[in-house]
Amino acid sequence: MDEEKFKQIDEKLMAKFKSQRDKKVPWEIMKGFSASVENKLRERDQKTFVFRPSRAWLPAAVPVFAVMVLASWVVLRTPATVAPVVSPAVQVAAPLPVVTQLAQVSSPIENADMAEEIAALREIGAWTDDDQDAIGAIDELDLEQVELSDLNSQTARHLA
Amino acid sequence: MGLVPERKVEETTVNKEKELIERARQKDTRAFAALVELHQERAIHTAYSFIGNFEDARDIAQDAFMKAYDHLDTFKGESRFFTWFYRILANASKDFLRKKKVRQHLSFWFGPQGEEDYDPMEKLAVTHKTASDSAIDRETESQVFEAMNHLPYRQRLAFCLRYLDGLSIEEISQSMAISVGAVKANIWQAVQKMRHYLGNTIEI
Repeated sequence: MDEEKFKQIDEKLMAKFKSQRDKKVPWEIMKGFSASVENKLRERDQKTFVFRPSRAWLPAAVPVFAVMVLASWVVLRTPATVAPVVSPAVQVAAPLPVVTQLAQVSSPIENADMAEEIAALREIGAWTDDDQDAIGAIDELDLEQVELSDLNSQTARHLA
Repeated sequence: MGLVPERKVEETTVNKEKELIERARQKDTRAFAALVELHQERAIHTAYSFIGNFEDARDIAQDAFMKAYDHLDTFKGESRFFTWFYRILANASKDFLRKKKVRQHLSFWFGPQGEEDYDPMEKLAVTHKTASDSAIDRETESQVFEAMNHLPYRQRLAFCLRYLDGLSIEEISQSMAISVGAVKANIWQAVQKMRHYLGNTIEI
């Protein structure tokens, strides 16, 4: 390649393609270009920030949860468990023998018994939602006990 | 009333550019958008000089700017931003051309929808007829781009940057990270190949 020849061809081609170099980018192509880039970057940054909790802990957590559930069940089934007192001011819609009995319970030992009884009744299908509603507002702890009992009875029915 | 000296305008632009780059490095997308606005026309034009149509050039330039944002940490500031950005733009164009070639190849043999009974020879005849009806400037332009399709990537890049984008030989050398002699050699070989391909159709 001759330096002089290159220079000649270079000048010739620069002149030939001048109109291509001077070609303006159409306005409609340029319109919103930088804003579009900014939006795409922001969207992409937001997407990468999505919180995805790691599931690596899941396998390890399963036995832990199982132990917690079992321990809760054992603790709740123990007679010495302290339970809050049911409010004596509870009104009942339709007095039933079982409901009346339960409404008068106030001691912790009796509350524990109540939960057991409710659980037993649920097992045989003798304790319904209507019965539950009839005993009125009960303490959260009692509710928890009943729910746990209910869970156990459901499990028992399922296994049966 | 005198005009602001060109040098002063250039210095102001350089300082502004540095400030925007610094802020963009801290993931300030607004600052980066302002930087894009400074260079968008040139970027699109350069991409256009590679591939021959503005719609695709816009997409390529957008893609290149997003990659530049991700790799701003690698920009040392020793050259102007656009000199560094050229490399990213050139790579984005190269990727586009590669994909386009594959698509064209598949489209040629299997049709645009992938039909099995598609006859590529039929399409060729139609294309030829359409080309002859076009304006001379457009036809020349398309023939030049067609000829460029046959060049190896580096020769095409050197040719485009010089004659379609107007960069100096030294600027091309910086952008392509090759010597001035290598730039000239690439351009020379590109011209010889295009002459061979175009024959007597267009004088190059």
